[in-house]
Parts: sequence; structure tokens; C-alpha cells
Amino acid sequence: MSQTEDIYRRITKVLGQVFDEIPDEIGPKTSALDIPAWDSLNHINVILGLETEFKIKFTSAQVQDLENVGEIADIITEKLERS
Amino acid sequence: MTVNLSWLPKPKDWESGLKRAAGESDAKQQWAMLTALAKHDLDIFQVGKLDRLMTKIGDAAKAFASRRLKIALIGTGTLDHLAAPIRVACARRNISAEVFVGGYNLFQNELLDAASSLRGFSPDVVVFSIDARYIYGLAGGDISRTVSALERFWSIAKSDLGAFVVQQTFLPVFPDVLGSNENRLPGSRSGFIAALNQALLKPSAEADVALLDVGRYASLEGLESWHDPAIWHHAKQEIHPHASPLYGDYVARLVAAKNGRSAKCIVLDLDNTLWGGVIGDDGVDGIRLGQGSAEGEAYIEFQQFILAQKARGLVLAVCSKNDHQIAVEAFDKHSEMQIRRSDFAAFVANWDNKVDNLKRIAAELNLGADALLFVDDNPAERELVRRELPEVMVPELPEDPAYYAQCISRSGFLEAIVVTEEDMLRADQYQANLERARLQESSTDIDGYLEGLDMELEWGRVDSESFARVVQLANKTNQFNLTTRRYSDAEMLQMMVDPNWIVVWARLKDKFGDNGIIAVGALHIDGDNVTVDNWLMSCRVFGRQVEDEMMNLFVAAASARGVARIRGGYKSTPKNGIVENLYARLGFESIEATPESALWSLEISRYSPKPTRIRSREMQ
Repeated sequence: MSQTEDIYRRITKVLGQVFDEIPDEIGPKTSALDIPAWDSLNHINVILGLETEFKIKFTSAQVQDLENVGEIADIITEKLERS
Repeated sequence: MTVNLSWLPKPKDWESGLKRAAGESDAKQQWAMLTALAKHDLDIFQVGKLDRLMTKIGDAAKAFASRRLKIALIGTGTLDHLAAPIRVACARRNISAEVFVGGYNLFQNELLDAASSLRGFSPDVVVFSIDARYIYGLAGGDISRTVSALERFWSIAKSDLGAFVVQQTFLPVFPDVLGSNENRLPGSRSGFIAALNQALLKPSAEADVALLDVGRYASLEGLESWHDPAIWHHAKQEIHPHASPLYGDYVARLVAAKNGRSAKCIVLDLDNTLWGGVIGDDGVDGIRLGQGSAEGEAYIEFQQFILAQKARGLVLAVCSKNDHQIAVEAFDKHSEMQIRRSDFAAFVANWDNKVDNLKRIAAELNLGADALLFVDDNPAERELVRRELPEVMVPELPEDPAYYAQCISRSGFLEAIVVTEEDMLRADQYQANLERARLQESSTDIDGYLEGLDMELEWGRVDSESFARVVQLANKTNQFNLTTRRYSDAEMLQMMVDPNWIVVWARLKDKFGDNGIIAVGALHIDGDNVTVDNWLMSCRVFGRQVEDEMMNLFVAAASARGVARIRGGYKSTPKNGIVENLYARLGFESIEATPESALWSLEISRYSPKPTRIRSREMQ
């Protein structure tokens, strides 16, 4: 499994922890619009779940700007490479 | 670092358990499965999933909770993420909670506006969760003006809403400007929070407001696990979402304590629980207890913690797989043993299984199994008890005895809010009960025994002195409880001054000691009738003719008011079968009866006082 595939697999796992129902396919374009329960309260939970799963910390600015799973995966890739 | 519910077992196969609970068709079984799922060290995501299932299941299953309560969480900042953890933590204690979360920074309007949704919700409990930045701004950093403002909020919640009030203390979120001697800096925000939390102690106790001391928990457990400034700036959540399962438990344990659902008895295993080693193999000289070894000292401190719990009113019992004689000898012969044999109200050491022994102990002490805290170092015994007697509280003890006391303290299973005079007397009272039992054995008949007790019943109307104990009895008595009507502080205050209410307390003394206030009758006068709205008695004085003597008092009080008859109701619960036929035995006639409830009536003119071996004396 490539590193990118692994990151998507783990992001999918976290989304499954936070939400009761998620789309079958989680891809770069998946966003809050695709998951009805993804509101601002759950956004924080998604972030916290990702931070625990990947042992990373998002900055305040990053938390604000995350638009879709593709951007999330990019930031995670970058953070994993730097650590 | 994330704080967690370390005294609960880690979830195992939890997700599949959740699926099974979702598919369960029997409502009672479903509620039991949900409470069992709640009794794990859950993270925020698991709490969320369990809570969503609990919301879905509807009322049929929740009807099997021991109590249903409405909790309002109001204050400042975002509090929505705390609702699910509170509901789940209440389910953990067999309480079904409905939670109202106040609007963002709207709590003052909600309190004052008579038409607010908070008022419409009519909460049993109001929790004030006000963030540190807001409270600093409320009165310009002036401690006494801030405390006065809080006192006003409490008083509205108590008198207008009739609620039990919980005040969350303030989180030390402000970084120190000076350092350790921050209090010397005028106008320091960090110094303000520390001083305010200190200044709350006395007024909250005086107002009977329970503190939820997150300020102190944050210092004990690390501020970073309770508060993250990045999350505050992003979502205005002052309580860290990762700390929310713990926050929910802190709320639920206060609610449980207020409703008499904390443990009343600590049941202790012996080998490797109160000392290191196995007494049957190692002998009195071989067990590790006492100065000289780290492990032996840890057990000494743990025993001292248990004794402190006894001193404030908890009952102790032994439940151990041992030969009785050998177990007893450990207490009689070991010079460093802190707990004495006479400290235990029940001592069960045999080779039967612990589930049966726990049932035996509960029956012997006249307690429900849900009043027991079971402390055992053996994971297999804990697992067995959790499965067979899910109502017993069973902390997941750490391996090292040095952390036993901390684990039990943090579990909140023993949470208490007030300590009454009766609590302080209780341990001695159980001891006196043993002496009474001996008198009973040596007496040839029951009348001789009762006469030998030399009983005196002091009674009076509820007043400020007896108030706390009367409310406590009314809210925590489950067996001798005729109608299960509960009274909030606010209601009881009202009843105290209303001439149409006669609330009577009774205190029983005998030659072995003072039992304290053991019974309460709440009588309501309505024209030509007196109705016993509720009548409660502590299980410690069952079978001592107290109920007969109290009925004599009720009749005397009723005829003094010139009414013709006394009515009394009975509402059946799983625990109050003992009083199902009480009114029949006291000479009442049945006027209404269904399987769940009954109404009884007594014409005062036809009553002849019951003969008892009790002298009674009215206290002014």
C-alpha cells in the first residue's frame, strides 16, 4: 500500500469513528457537504480524531482552512514527512 | 496527554455490543445493555455513538432507568459537546438524563426571562459552566462583586426553578505573568481565577450549591488535557472535547450523590487488596503490611484511606475467599493492621462464589446491591461480579497498591456533597446494631428484646437544623418509601413554612446509642383530610415498632388540627415491597387498589393508639 493510500485508509477510519454513516468512497473531493452530520461541532472532533490517529497537531490556521479530504491528506503528508 | 476514565475497564468488543444493543427488542434488556456499554473507559467518539443510540431508542427502554432527570447546562462559550457525555455518564449510573444546553452566552437572559426555554424545560439540576475569560470580565476582576453575582444566579436557579445547583469552578486558563508568586501582582487574571475559586468555597456551601471543581482537577490532571487555547479560539469550547467524557462523569456523580445513588458500603477483598500476599499461605508474619517495605507502606496508606471513608459514614464489609478463622486472625494478630475487625459491619470469608457472598452481605446490611462498592485485586472476580451483579460498582484496580486509593477516589463511586451528623455517626451505629443483634439472640421473645432496648423517640417539625437530614432521607431512602415522592430543597423550604404541611422527623435513641434522624413523614392537610404525601424510614430501624409509634404521632397531629381522617398512598417500586401492606397492618381501609398503587384511609375517631415499647418526646 502506498503512503497516500494508507493516509486515506486512516482518514476513512477516523471519519467512521466520528460519524455513524459515511460515504463508501472517501476521496480527495469528499467534504463536509457529503456527510450531513459534519457540522462545526463535529469538525473539531474530526480534527481531534486525526491528531490522535496520526500523532500530529494542526495549527489554528490550518483548522480553519481545511476544505476537503484532499487538503487534509496534503497537510498530513507534509507533517509526516517533516517529522 | 488525554485524561480518561481510568477506573473503568477498557472497551472490548464494544462496537459489536453496540450493534447488539441497537437490535435488541426487549426494552428492559436494551436499557441494561446500554448501561453496561456506558460502564467502560470510552473516548469522545464512543460516547457520541452510544449517545446517538440512546437518543434513538425512545422511552420504552429509558423507563427502566432507576430515575429520570432533567439537567440544564448553562453558561458561556460552546457547551453543546458536553451534553452527550453527561447523558452517557448518567446512564452509567442507571439514570436517564435529558439535557438542556443553554444558548451561547445567554444564560443571564435565560435565568431572568420568565418565558425562556430554560424555564420551560423546568430542570431538576442546573449546572453553571462559565468560562474564565467571561467571569474575569463580569465584574472587572473584583472578587467580592463576582461572588455576589454568582450568588444571585444560584438563588434564581434555586428559588425560581426549584433546581439543585452545581457551579463549575473556573479553569486556570491564563498564563502566569510573574510565576509562582502571581498573587502579588495587582490585577493578575491568573491570580484572580485562583482567588475566586478559593472565595467560592464558603458561599457555595452556605447556599447548598455543589461545586464541580474542574479548576482543581485541571491542576491535578494537567491543564493541557482540560483546555486548549487553539480550540478555544476556534470553537469557543473551554472544556477540551477529549476531557468531555470525564466532565460528564463529574456532573453525573454529583447528580447521583444528590439522589442517593453513590455507594454506601465498601466491600473489600483481603489478600493483595488490604495486604500483600496470601494470609492462608504466608501466615500473619508473612504478609506484606507495614513499615519497612514500599509495598507494605502502600497497603497501610490504603487502609487509612478506607478508614477515612468509614469515619465519614460509609459501611465496611469483607468478602474474601479464605478460611474464616485465618482471615479473622490476620486482624486480631497483625500489629500493623490499621483496620480492626470491629470496623467491619459484615465479615464474610469462605470459599463460596463472591456473587452469592455479595448478595448475602447486601441482605445482612439491609442494602441494595447497587449500594455496594466491590474492591478486589483479582480481575476475574471483578469481571464475574460485573457480569452477574451489574448494579454493584466495581473499580478497575491498578496493579500497584500504591495507586489503589487514588483509583477509588477518582472513580467518584463514593462521591458525596454534604456530610450530615448522621453520616458521622453511621459507622458506630452499625456496630451498635451488632450489639442489638446479640441482645436479640439472648432475649427469649421479641417483646422482651424491644423492652430491653429502652427506646426513646424524639420528634419534631422540620426546621433549619434538621433540614439537610430530612431532605437527604427523603431523597435517598428506597425501601421504606411509600410513594417515592421526592422533595427538592426549594420544595421542602416551601413546605416548612406552609401551614397546610406538617413535615415531621423522628430520631431514635436506645441503650446502645443514637441512631440519629431515621424517619420523616410529610403530611398535607386538605380540608377534612390529612394525606400522608410520603413517609420514609431508614432500614436501620426496621422491626422496632417505630412505624407504629409514628402513626400514633400522625393521628395526634391530625386530630389536633381537627380533621376526620388520614389517607395514605402506596406506589409500588422494585424496592419498596416491605411497606406494601403497611397501612393495612396499621388498621387503614383500602379505598382503591391497582397492581401498581393503592390508596388507604383511616377514620381518626376509630383509631386506638398502637401499644409500643417506645417512649416519645416532642422537641420544640
